[in-house]
Amino acid sequence: MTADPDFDVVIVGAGFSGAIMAKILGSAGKRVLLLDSGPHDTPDRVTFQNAYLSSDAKLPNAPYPPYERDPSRQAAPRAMTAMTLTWPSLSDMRNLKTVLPSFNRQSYLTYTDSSEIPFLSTYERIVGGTSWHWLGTALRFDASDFEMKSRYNVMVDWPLKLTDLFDDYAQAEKEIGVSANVEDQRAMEKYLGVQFPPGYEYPMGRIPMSVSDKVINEEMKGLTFDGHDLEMTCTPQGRNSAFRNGRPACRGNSSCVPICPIHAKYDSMETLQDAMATGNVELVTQAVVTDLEPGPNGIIRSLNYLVYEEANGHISKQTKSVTAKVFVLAAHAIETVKILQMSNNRKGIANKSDQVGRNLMDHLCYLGWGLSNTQGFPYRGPRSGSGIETLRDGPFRARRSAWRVDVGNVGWEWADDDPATSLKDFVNGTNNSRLNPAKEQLFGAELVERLNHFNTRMMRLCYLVEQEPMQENRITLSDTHTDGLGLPRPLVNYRVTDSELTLRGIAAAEETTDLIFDKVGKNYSRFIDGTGYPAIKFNLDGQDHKANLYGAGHIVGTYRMGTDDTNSVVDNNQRCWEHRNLFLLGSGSFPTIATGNPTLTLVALTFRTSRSILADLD
Amino acid sequence: MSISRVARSGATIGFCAAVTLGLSGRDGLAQTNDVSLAPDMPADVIAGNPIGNYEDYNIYSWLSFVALNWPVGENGQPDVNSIIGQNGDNSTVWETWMEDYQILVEDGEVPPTWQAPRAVPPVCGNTKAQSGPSRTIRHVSSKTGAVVSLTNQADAGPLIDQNGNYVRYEILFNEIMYNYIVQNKLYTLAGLSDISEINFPAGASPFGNEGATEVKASWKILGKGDDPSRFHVATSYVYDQAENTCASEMLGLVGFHIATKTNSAPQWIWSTFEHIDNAPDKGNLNTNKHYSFYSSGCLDNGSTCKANQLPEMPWNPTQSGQTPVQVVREAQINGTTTRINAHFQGALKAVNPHSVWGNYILVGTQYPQKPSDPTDPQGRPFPPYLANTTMETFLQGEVPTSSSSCIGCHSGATASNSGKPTDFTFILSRVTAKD
Amino acid sequence: MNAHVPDTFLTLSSALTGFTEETLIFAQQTADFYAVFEGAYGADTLAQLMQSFQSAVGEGNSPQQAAAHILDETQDKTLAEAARALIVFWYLGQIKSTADPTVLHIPSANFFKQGLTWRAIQAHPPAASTQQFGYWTTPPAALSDFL
Repeated sequence: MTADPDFDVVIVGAGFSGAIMAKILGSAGKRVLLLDSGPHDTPDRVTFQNAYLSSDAKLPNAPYPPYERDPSRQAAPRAMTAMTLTWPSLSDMRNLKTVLPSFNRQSYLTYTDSSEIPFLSTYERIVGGTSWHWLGTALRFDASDFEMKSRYNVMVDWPLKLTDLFDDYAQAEKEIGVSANVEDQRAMEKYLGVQFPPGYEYPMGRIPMSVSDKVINEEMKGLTFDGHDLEMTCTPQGRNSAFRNGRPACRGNSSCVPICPIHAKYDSMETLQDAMATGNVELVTQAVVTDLEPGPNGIIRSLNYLVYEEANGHISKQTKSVTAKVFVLAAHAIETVKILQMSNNRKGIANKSDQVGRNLMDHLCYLGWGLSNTQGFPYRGPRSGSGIETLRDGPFRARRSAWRVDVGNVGWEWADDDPATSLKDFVNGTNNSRLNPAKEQLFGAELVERLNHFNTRMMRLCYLVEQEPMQENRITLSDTHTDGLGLPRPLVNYRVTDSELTLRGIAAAEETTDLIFDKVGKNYSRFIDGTGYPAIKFNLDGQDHKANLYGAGHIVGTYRMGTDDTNSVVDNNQRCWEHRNLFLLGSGSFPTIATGNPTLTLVALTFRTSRSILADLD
Repeated sequence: MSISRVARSGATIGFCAAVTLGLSGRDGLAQTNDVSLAPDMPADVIAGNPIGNYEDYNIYSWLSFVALNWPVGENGQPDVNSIIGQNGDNSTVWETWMEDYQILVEDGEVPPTWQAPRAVPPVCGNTKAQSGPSRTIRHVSSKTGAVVSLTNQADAGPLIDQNGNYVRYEILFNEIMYNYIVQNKLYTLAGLSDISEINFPAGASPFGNEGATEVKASWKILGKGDDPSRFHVATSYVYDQAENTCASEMLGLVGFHIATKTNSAPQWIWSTFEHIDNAPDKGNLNTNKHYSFYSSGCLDNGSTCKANQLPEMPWNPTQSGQTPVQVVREAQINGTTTRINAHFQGALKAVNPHSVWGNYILVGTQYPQKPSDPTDPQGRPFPPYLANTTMETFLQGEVPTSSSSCIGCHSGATASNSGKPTDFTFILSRVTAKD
Repeated sequence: MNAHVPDTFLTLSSALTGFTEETLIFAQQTADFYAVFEGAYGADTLAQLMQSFQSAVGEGNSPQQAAAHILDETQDKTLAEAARALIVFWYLGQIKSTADPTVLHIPSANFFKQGLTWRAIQAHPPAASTQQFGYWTTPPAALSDFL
């Protein structure tokens, strides 16, 4: 007999899943060790807010450490949007092989030369994880999202149905604090089927639509695509619409990504405080897991990790080991894979199915932007509060990817960094925004009026295209590049054009954008062939397409759940088939990326898995 | 003339009726007898907005402080036959006001009547009290991150003093505010839904009506190294609702916020005071003085303690002997305020050299410079940032939206069941009774 | 507050930006545009800008005409470029860095918050709104109120 383990449960990652699970298990009296690879900023968020406001490039990572760029000198580096800014332009892609060595040196995510575009999304490695910079969109998936193979004969089914998750979705909405009116969502039933059991109510009422949303919705009336009406719905949002749980109502700071300065948007910090208050949860920060040690029957016996300190560019580290009855990896779809692959002397574990690291997915964002005839006054209100949900399901899914459209409240900020770009154009006589074709130089009242005329009419649609899972879109360990702790960096192979299903989804987004702006105003969407604008080209039905793609921040699919140990890494409780005391949380377990933003579903699955773990422990 | 006084009805005007302030411009304070100690609240500042005169607002703050801390007589009224601090310390007017938890009733309950004796939690009856505690400080021990819980600061966490004890916070409001809440049943969710707009009565000039006023006090447990004769002291029951424990403690007042709604300031006027022994200025740390929240020898792993950092979790006020928070004041108190402080401290010490009230200083006064700016419901507050080292310890600084701004934060106060603004008070954000 | 800021700097800035001096004074309360601009472009350039503006006004030109005169590159290219940089600074809080003059940077969070661009488009800087819940459901105040 071995000695009593150090803890009941060790959880790796203090983000959405890890913090919630720590709270559930701690409240049930279980002794929990929670490890996070990054530092623990005090929850006052002043440091992050200051870093964001004073940063020159307001990218999703901007508020959060590490602030330096060199991943080989950082103990816990992460993927950064800034790195995609040096990706070669489409016309330059033939040079990828020559550019890659230098790109890979500077980027935490390194790439194979058969990649087409970089993986476009980012995440955070700090206590609280990517909950710091999530948008707050808290949609349930629709019934078809779980049954794509059965219903449309494409992709795969989940080993779960929507109805299995009703209670867990409700718990997730309560923990996060979701604001929505259930009637708004039920109005989508004719398109999306039933998503709520009878009698369900959200914890708080809706966050109302912005002026800009109402203008687009009004002017789009009567338009249809693939037989469905184009109409907007208030998005269920993890932001308060009333004072709740010690947090204020949303004040429309328009910066949900990357930081809510007033904590109206949920993040893991409050759940973590609850978890710590149980007295049963111990948090160790700056702890990077190196590997898991399986014993007889695949049962994981211990977990090894490095605790590090960084000072003056120097990293000192200490090796530690911990035993537990149950191990939980909640370190995100890329870091969790790394831990599995680094285990067993880098031969990997949990990989009988050969699915570990494969099927990396994101919602591929196609941006459509233009000017509306009517002033909508963007740059006001939550960053996004409404969307077009009517095209998330339908018979068309047999031939093309579905999408939802996130309708922005921040003008062309994402598209071309406005209002800064047009301001500089009007002052300096340039035309980067294409709003100053005569290259005028303005000042005073004229400058104000010109800037106001265009910027109060800007609109941006983001189509979140469901990316088909592909075996060759995968994460492995780099043989050549390491981080500051000497651990291998991820090697990514990433392509888009191998999936006709996905490409047809992108083409449908282009078409819909034309349709909308023909009615609403003028389409300014364009293809940009420039460094830092990852793009693809493809031919469909004899027609050439080129599109820039952006990341949704949805990192999905690298340890898919399924029906047995030959087709999947985990079962429908996120338990590893081969290691019965090892659970993998987060969107890495999703077999498909579906048509909703993933956070709510991954939180719901955390509640489901917590029940399994509690049952095991009792 | 820039500050108007509350007109007192009835015959008990006495001492204060003659006070007329002749302050104008920056030289007003040269004639120290212009500003007297009086038991009446100033009603409003006659503002030269936009921009305004900061000095007037600071005088307004001190007049409020003196009036609220005036010796209390019958029915919670100031005792006009006494003078503040004549016996060193005195029980005060504001301490008889309604506590926030008294109107945050359970479903079906009704708040107590104004000035009704306070109910003592049953568990406190078992406490061996020294000479009848005057008040009960309640706190909850586990809910964290709350804008107001009684050991956590707004949007932050707890402050732990040099003796390892948690600072306690208390929120009270005046009768005008109480009447408005009770008459509109704003202590219930139904009342909050029914009212079309929450709009507390404002102090008015020239009529001299008193406005809705809310105060927040921070208290430390007086212990090792503390000299009780330097503080305004209250012996209190410290009651922990979650743990159902109660202790009788001698508390010293370390911080004091006053917020008053006036005609000239629909965003309210925010005054904040501190005890002079709290913490040193960031620029003046070489001191051997004893501070409640600062130790010059504080070391952490061999290096000097980082100031104004939240304590490690978990936070539990019932545990004693926890690691103190090292506090410094980030922004030096400005010159105008310092001069006015010297004036009032001098006047208070003139009454009695041992007056505890002379040990308090005004940190600043935040007011709206352009109260009806259609582009800014906050009315362009000045100073843009203002913090009390005992109440916004961790949010000092000048980072937009995050650093402490009284109006900035309170303008986001809404009902607990909707986004309806509650006119700058977070008390109504914590209502749970249905109807 | 900001006693060191000369009136001419405010009238010049007002003419260049199209905003009232009152709005600029409010901005100066947390972000010293005057001192930082002087640091980046030098006291001489700043003095020349103000002098050029003032003498044009002294000759009977309106502030707008005086501003146009300064911005005319055929008169003095360096001065015109500095004036344009001052406009961009007021509008975006971005100015050339003394460490690397080829890139624009934001000296501190308050410069970003005070950028006039957001007022010119009747909005607010991201992460620094002063509005209340639901303000986004109705159109903003009139443009003239923002100036």
